Amino acid sequence: MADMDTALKEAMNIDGAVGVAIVDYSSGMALGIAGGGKDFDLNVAAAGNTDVVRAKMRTMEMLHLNEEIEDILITLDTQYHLIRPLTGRSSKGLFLYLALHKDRANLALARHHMRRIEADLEI
Amino acid sequence: MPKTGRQPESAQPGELLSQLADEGETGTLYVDGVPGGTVHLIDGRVSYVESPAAPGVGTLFTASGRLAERTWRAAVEAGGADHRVGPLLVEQGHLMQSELELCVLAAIYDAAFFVLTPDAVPVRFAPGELHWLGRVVEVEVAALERETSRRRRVLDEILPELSVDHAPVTPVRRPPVQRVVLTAAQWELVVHADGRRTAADLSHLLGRPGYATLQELRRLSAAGLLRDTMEPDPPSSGGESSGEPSAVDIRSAEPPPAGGDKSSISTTAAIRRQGGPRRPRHAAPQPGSPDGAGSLPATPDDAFLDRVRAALKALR
Repeated sequence: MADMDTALKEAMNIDGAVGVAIVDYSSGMALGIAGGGKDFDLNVAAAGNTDVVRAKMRTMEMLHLNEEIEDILITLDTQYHLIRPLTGRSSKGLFLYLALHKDRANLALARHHMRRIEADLEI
Repeated sequence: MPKTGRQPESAQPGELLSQLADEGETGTLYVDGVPGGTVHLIDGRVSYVESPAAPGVGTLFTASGRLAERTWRAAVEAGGADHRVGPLLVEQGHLMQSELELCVLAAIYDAAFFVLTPDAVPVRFAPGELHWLGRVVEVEVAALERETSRRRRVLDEILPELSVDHAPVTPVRRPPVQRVVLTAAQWELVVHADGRRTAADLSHLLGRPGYATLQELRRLSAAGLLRDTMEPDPPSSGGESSGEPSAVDIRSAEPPPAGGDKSSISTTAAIRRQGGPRRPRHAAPQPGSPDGAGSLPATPDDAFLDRVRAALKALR
């Protein structure tokens, strides 16, 4: 029976994790965060990335792509940012947001972990 | 309601809440006004917030299909008296701790948006009074305040006008554009906006957070697709507009919210609109709108129309 903090701490154990957040994308609010810090405000990141998810969803609608987003990857010079919309019945409208150090992270493994964390958040 | 606590006083709910938090209080803060609600504190931290404008955790879980109505009711009956409905649902294996936490957090912030108005309203604190949900999560009062004002700002960025926030809403009969693209959430709102339901009614009906509903309604209103029911459709050819008073006229005569303190102005206006001419506006018929007429009472309220007409003449 994982609580949310445990799930978030687990995400921080992913190699290279800088910060993680569970974000409600209608309001842009982070319901839970772990990691981050002074120079990386996860609350700001949460609100901003809401727009990313919304824009991507709108684009898919315009392209008539009747598919779901499994995750969104943004690659920076030194970081990876992974966004994973949650699909459970009560967690619809939420997404997981994970920032990773590029040189310390294993992307495939990180995606695999994200999937597991999602399973931990809901039956 | 027990009157054990402090006498009712008029205060800004957020301010009083901060005081109670500093003192580490446990109990329930009753906030009057429109829509009002209750804030539940345990040891100075917020454990739950309720408002008629925001669906509670029960609605959120049952409307999404996550919990059967029966399961939820049984848990409230069994755990309500001991103030531990939330923990009980987890113990019985109906929910995982994490999903309960997520849902309760979302419900707290959602209701807080409506309860923590920037205006002074009658408030009363009942010390020791616990909520039946029990201890699931704890939120700092300061975090709640911060998030609430951020949400107000975001809402005003969509459309700085609150005509669709409290009044019954209705889709316009003719869209102002050739092609309309809606999200699934917007479609559901449009389909269920029957000219009588308000934002609060719609969010309860659809099991959507109240704030998310307000956002979508304001987006639809900004796109000219949805309006306050009592506001007539914009005349298509300028035909019948001569003598008919319109809600638009009244509103545009109000000073627009000035830059700095938008939120407080909007909320006062909201309360004024809600408290004042609401009932007569319900009863007033839609002049010359055969489509909309079906959803409105048939008897016109002549006295009210006369009053509006007189008021508009005075404005000229």
